[in-house]
Amino acid sequence: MNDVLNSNFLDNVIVMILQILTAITNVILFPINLLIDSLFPDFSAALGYITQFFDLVQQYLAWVLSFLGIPAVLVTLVLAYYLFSVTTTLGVWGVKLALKWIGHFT
Amino acid sequence: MKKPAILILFSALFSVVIMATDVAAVSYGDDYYVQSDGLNVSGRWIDYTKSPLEYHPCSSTDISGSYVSILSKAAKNDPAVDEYYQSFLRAIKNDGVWGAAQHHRQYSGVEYDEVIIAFSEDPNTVPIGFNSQMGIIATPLTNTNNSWKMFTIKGFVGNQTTRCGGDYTVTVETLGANQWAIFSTSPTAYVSHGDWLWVKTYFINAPINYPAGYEGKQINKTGVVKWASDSLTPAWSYAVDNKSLTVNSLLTDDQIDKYQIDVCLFQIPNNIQGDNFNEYVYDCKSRPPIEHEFEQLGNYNIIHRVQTVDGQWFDSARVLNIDGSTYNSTVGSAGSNKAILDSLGKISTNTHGLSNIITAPLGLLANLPNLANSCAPVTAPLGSLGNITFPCMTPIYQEKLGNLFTIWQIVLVGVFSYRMGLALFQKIKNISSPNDDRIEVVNL
Repeated sequence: MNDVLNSNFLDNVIVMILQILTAITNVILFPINLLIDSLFPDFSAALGYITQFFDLVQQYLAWVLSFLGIPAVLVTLVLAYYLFSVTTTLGVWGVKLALKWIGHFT
Repeated sequence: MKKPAILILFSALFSVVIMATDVAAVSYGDDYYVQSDGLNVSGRWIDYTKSPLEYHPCSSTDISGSYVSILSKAAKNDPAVDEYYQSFLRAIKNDGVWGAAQHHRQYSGVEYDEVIIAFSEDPNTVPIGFNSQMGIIATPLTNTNNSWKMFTIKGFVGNQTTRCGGDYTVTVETLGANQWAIFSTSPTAYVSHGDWLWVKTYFINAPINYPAGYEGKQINKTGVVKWASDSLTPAWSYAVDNKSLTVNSLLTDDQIDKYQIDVCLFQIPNNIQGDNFNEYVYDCKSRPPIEHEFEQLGNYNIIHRVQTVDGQWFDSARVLNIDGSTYNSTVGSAGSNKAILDSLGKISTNTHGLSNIITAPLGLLANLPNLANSCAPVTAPLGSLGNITFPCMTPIYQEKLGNLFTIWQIVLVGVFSYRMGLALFQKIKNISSPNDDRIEVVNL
């Protein structure tokens, strides 16, 4: 178990899932982004500061984690737990919904 | 009447003298070398439903800027090609000899293009020679271990369904007795075992034995500077040993000297915006290797840039996982996970518009596992008093508290794991309930 936690496998799986979510978000919101960019350029620029804010947070987060003595394993575990909550429950809910529909029509 | 006759006689004599000097200038081999503008490859497709079979040409593609990528890709799929490819990289890196030529051939009336890349790791291999029946050729050594090796990059041969839609084919061979790598065909060339129409030289970076009295053009010796922007090799190689990174350029010293190439290494955050990398450069040298010692383990996005004398940049990027292990680019550092991550990293992230609200926290979450291992001291400005620096505390805790800090971390992980275990159990219990329709989303 320790080997699994210390390896990059879990990290890579987490990053992969989040990258996929990011890519999907970009694809889904592409038309709205385009609309905001063209019609409300100032609003688009204001939204850009969100990224800068998170970049700023990122710069100091590593130090905060170090200050609190939080090990990387714990961060990975918490992240894995939340990703499980988000992805698996959504997947199961989708299956349940599909089964309900099938039951409704049969 | 005398004057015109003298003029005509004088003119005729002059013409004879000019012709004589002109003929004298064309010595053996002067017209063998023909320079190719590029390296074109084209396939063909055959309609098997027709009788007799119909042969159709496909359009040509210039691969002079991407042939290394094609070889690299083929090497990944074929161990035999990989063996040659590694030898090819060693030849480039260690002052071996190599050259490329454009072959134009025909089959059943359809003309097509192929490219050959001939090379040898031995810099003292037999020089390129001139042959009246062939043209400009690389001849084999008696000792085949040091002999010329050759890649042939061929176009796709399709059928009536696939037509031209297919990938390149790369074949390899080591030149043995009575075999030649032809770089340029002479006007009277006779190629006994093929259907070549003509061969033109792209470049030959090898010693060349010009014939005695040769007055033709000097053969182009360069052609190495161009490579695909997305290819890792042979632009550069890397070796990771624990936290040490060594980056080598795979260009030869001569090429670096001639083209005044600056090789720069960048270490940039994964969420870089825009294309101004200059603020992230940590080492830039006109003569590699570049060596760097990382302070922390983690994933690092490395961009290797080369600028040619004409100001054109060639980039290649790589996410390197500095995890305390030892590996290098030729052994194959990229596992399947990393390959997936690398390809996902190429998906352009929209850093504007509404998607920011969702992608920015996701980006932060994706970086969290790395952040925990990549603490940097925080500096706060205090005006006229100067700056105050807060060091990373983990090493200090470890040094001052020793086992007590380890116990703190174990307790922390234990308590959180227990709480998460309970929550996970409850969650699975809820999921198993057929009437539970709740959906959880990331609380942004």
